Order: sequence, then C-alpha cells, then structure tokens
Amino acid sequence: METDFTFDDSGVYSFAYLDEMTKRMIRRAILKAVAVPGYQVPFGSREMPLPPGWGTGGLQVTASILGRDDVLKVIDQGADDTTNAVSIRRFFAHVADVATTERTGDATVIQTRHRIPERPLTEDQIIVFQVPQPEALRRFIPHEAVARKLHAFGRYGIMYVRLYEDISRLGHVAMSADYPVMVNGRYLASPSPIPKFDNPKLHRSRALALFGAGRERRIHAIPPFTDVKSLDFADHPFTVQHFEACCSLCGAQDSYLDEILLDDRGTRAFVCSDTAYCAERRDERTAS
Amino acid sequence: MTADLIPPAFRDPVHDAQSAFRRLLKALSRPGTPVSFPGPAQPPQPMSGPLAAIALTLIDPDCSIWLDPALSRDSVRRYLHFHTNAPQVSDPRAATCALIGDVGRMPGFGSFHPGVATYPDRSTTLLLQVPSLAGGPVVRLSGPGIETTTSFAPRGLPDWFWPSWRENAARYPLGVDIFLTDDLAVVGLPRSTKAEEP
Repeated sequence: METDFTFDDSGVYSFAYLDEMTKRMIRRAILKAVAVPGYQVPFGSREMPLPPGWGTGGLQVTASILGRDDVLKVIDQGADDTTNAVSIRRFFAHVADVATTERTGDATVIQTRHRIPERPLTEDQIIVFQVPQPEALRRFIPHEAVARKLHAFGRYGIMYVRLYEDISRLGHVAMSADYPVMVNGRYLASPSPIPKFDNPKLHRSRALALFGAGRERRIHAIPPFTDVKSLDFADHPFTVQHFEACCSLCGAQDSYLDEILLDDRGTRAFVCSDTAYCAERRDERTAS
Repeated sequence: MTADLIPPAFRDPVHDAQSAFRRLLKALSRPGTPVSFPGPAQPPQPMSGPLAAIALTLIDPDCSIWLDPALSRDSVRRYLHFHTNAPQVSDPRAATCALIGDVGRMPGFGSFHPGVATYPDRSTTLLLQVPSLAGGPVVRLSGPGIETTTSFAPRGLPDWFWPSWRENAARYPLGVDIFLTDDLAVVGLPRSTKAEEP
C-alpha cells in the first residue's frame, strides 16, 4: 500500500473512513433513493478530508457501499489520471484497502465526476456520481421549500419555459451539460453536469446509478432499467452533440471528444475524454 | 441462566453489515429477484437469520422500529435493544422500520407511514418474514429495476396483500417499501414496483 505520510496511520481509520453510524444513515438514504427514483433524499453530509465541491457527496456514497471485494475505478471528466480521480482512488486504496483499476469492465464500483464511461455498464456495476447541484430547479427557484413543493406537485412547467426561451432566442436548447431529465415519468432530476451526450446512457441502463451531493446534502438514484427522458418538445426533439472529428489517438467516432490545443499557433486535435476507452482501443489495435 | 444470554450479532460487524447492505441494495434495485442473504448464526427466536441481519444492517438509535405481536417478545426486544439501541415504538405509523414475523396477521399498509408529498422518504420500510419466497401464487412484477417483467411467488401472504399493494403503488411517490425474507434470501419490493396477478 502506498502512503505519503511520515507517521504510521495503519489501523487508525474506520474501514472506508466513515464511522458505522454514518454509513447506516447514508445506506438508509440510498435505499429510499432507489425506491423513489429521481427524488432527492436529504442526508447528514459529513466533513470529509476533501473540500466541498471536490466530490464529498460521491465520496460518502462510495464509502458507504464499498466492501473489501470491490474493485474501484474513479474518473474525472472521463479521465483516470487527473488530480481529483487520482486523489480519490488513492484515498480509498488507503482507507479501505480496495483494489483499484482503470479498466471500466473490471470495476464493480465506478465513482465519476461529470462523465459516464463509453463502454456500456453491466448489472454488476454501480456508478456513483459526484454532484455539485442536485436541484434541477435551483437556477430559477432559489428557495428550497418552494422547489420541494414543485417536486411534490410534479409542476415542472418552469423548466419547459426555460427550454422554450432558448429555442425562441437561439433556435436550439443551449445546454450542453447538466441537461434536465425526467426519471420514471415522475421526478425532474439533474443528471449532474455530465455532457448531454451521456444522457441517453442513463435511459434503462443496466447498472445502478447513485448521485451524491455533499455540500447540498442530497442523494438521488436511478435504478437499472428505469426510464430517463431528457426534456424536449415534439417539434424540437432532444439531440446529443455530434463530432465532425474522430479521436486522433484511437480513431473512435462514437466517443465524446475533448479538444486540445497542441501549440501556440492554434493547432488542435480531438481525443477521447474517456481515457480508459481510448487506451483499450489502442491496445486492441496493437494486439491485432 | 443461559436462557437469558443475548445471542451474538454479526461476527464481523463492519464487513458483514457492508455485505448485507450491498445485498439489500441489489434486492431493491432488482425487485422480485431473490438475493441470497446470510444471517447471524443465532437469531433470536422466532426471527429468521436474514430478518435479524437486515435489522442489524439498517437499524440504529436514529431509526425507530415497530415489532408485530409475533416478534414482540422479550428475546427479540432485548436482542435488538442490545445490538442496535433503536427506539421501539408502539405506533406503527411512528416507525421508520416495521419488523413483521407473522405476515398472515400483519396490519394493512395503511397502518404505516406513507411519507409526505414533500418528503416521500419519511415512509415506513416493512421487513416481512414469509414462510418461503417461492412456491406460492405467482404475481408478475414490472417497474424500475426490472427489464421487462419478472414473476414472484412468495408463500404465506394474506389475500389482501397484492390488491393492497396496487393501491400502495398507485400512491407513488408516497407509499411503503418492503423487504421480504425467508430463511435464505431477501426480495425487495420498492413502492415503484407494479404487481399484476395473472
């Protein structure tokens, strides 16, 4: 086990950092969230050794579900090797002694910030999202009690008005991430700021999706095989981003691409945002 | 003297509870599909091992419980008090979790808390011990967590159970959630699941 600390802290932490009573509280909240897909269950968020906004909600959900036999993958904007992903992966390798992986297919629990892996998830996987703002209505309804009533009555007209205003001014809905979805035909939910490219992957996914918002103290869930509909209008159907380019490393045409600047003269290239998917495709190519 | 001893709970409280929770999570996110569920070696009579394991996994001082008359015995009360320290209430509506040992005589779903419109999570979760999760009349389940439909045939449920469950599902997002157990496994029945008797 790798450690940066100069003192020996083995055995100092509870398994997976959180104490048992906190885990039980979060576990009860997760079960309620699964029973009412899309509804945001309040929970008593704890202080974590990470600032709020860096994935404390996802961290607490992962800590409450993680066991010794799990294989953990952590991604940040699709990448396994960025600061947030590396820190969280090392945190759990340290406090829970779990195996970690970068291969999507090998993972049993995937904690993610703002992406869903390109490789389709399976029944045996759980994907945990880090959520900055779980309330899809918050931009128009700053008052928590009012937003809660709108959810209770299922009154989501204001969100359609927002989409309509975009269409009337710009001709299309100008939301490329955090695109609102209707879960199980009842609750309006924020899918966390995943690109809308990933929204269709939530619809009847084979894997359980759990969403943890640490600062906002909410957990919501999308069980497997649950209808998840991105809001749209009959004459303006929901569409995902389309890329003219393909990945310059692996040649993928079906993945979500990041644009990178290569030099000072503005030369650009596109690469897969999902680094594990890209690496696996390149490995397969060299193998064959 | 030995009759007064409280049987032990999980051998490894941290990891056994984690493993039990993951099985509960799997059961609730795949309604109607039995998930094998090992319990502590010596549950207090008449609790089954899986029922005791669910209680030890979910219940603590923040989670009030209600016991049906079949479970309302000293042995069970002392076991749960010692291992979980959960408040035991006499009003089923006030309970976060209701443990039911004799489903044939259980009170109707209306006796439990369905949650409120703004907080549907404040509902009661029912933990039912049934004679067997298979071999009874078949119902067809559908809803979130189920790819198309799945059939489920628990034994020992009262006649009013499935008609009443349809009313519970019709109140969605309010309603109670249920875990059913026999001696081996657990089945989740969240309020989002619809049941049809063929």
